Amino acid sequence: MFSLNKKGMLYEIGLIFFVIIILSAALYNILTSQSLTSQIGKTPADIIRVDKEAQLKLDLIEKASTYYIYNAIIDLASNSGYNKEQLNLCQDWNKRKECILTQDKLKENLRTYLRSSFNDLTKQEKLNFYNIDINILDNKLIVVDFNGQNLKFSNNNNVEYTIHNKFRKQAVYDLNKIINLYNYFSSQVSLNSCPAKESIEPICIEENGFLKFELKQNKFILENSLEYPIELVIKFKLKKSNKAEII
Amino acid sequence: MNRKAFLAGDTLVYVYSILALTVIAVVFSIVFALATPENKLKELLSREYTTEIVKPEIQVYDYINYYLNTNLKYEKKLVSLKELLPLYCYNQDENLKKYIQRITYNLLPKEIGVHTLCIDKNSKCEDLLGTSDSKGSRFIKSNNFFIQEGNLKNPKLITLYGFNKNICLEIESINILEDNFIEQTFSEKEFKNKIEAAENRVKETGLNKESPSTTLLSPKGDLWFFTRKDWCNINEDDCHKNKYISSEDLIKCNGDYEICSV
Repeated sequence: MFSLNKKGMLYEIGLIFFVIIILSAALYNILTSQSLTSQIGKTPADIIRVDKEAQLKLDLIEKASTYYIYNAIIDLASNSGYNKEQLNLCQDWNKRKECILTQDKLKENLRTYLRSSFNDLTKQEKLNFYNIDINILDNKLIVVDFNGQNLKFSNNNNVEYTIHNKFRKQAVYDLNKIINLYNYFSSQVSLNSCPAKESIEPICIEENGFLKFELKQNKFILENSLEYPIELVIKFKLKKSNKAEII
Repeated sequence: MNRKAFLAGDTLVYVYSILALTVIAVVFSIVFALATPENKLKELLSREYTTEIVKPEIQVYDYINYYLNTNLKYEKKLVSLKELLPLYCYNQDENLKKYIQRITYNLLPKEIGVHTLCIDKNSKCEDLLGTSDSKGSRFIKSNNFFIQEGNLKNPKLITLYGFNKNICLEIESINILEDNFIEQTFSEKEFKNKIEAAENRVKETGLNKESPSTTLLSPKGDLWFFTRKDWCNINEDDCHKNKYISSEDLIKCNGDYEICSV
């Protein structure tokens, strides 16, 4: 009765192997899988975490942008209104054509300083560069538009997303102060020594054939709130006998 | 259905199938029971799945936002700690440091440690990390200052960018409830209602100094602490100077210290 020489026994062997393979795979999976509880809800939690971290980071970057605008103004003023390349050529605030200061030139140089320092910050945060546009209203309201495209945030694991971040900041500073000084000293026929104090009163020091000027200004008030203990100083220097330098 | 076709072969084949599968089932049951680690077995059987383990890591952002963005009065101006911390790192004013510590003590539950380090503009907080010290701070430099002392077991690191100085903020990442946040008010009516509610609560349950429900933020950004029957201003450190004001007077001046102190 219990004969093994039946044709159906061929299927029997297949069935046994099939069951053993399935059960072995199940055992292997249990032994090698991660803890079950740590996996449940992990992906949504990762998404929320990346989102919250991104929002906090962008919030702090936006806040920092105000400091960077004022820092750019300080850099501009302490470099006579020129960018670093122009400064090599126009160190002594001379009257070469390319050294003439205009509001457009100041605006562009301010943008250069701001873009350089602000994008150092975004680089530090491993984010894309921001495009920065500057407009000047009523001669002294500096309106800056920051535009960050495709900013990537991830948890170095399974969540990554990109967002755009646009915001606008304002700072109050009259760039014409620099232009007025430039125009005033450009109109001087010749300067061999520090001039007598007049309506414009920068501090003047004679040094190595140069006249160094410094005009200290009021402390910054950031966004109508905190007074910062930073005095902006417009610095520039002229070669003695400035007339000889006029080209 | 063709009955002959269905019962093709011998019943013997089915008997062997059942026998073989029974043997395999018994063997694998024993193997499963012996080889599966106990914790995994428990998980499989109990089905107590939970996401609690990730909750504090997410929640930390809520109270960091609350801590950094709550507007308070400082030198007659409404500012947040997001602005005050960079200012401190810039001017190193000891009075400002004390103010930040006082406000932190009242804004956050006492068990949350907050450690801070002022660094140069071009430095990164990550560059200054080493192994934890006795307070749990991972900053190698010893000149970090404790806004709020407390051992950090699982700190979160935040970089604040300031004016020529950056700030590294280490803040304990633990699970805290919204009840631990102080009560903020944004209108005169809301302020009045919450003063009365705080009074009633203290009458009913007694004064609990650890409870943030006895601290109220007025619409003008002044933090007021309720004692048994009167209020004192935290921003100006009046609680230590024994300068108190009654609930009635506080409602009249709408929690504005400039008016209340006249």
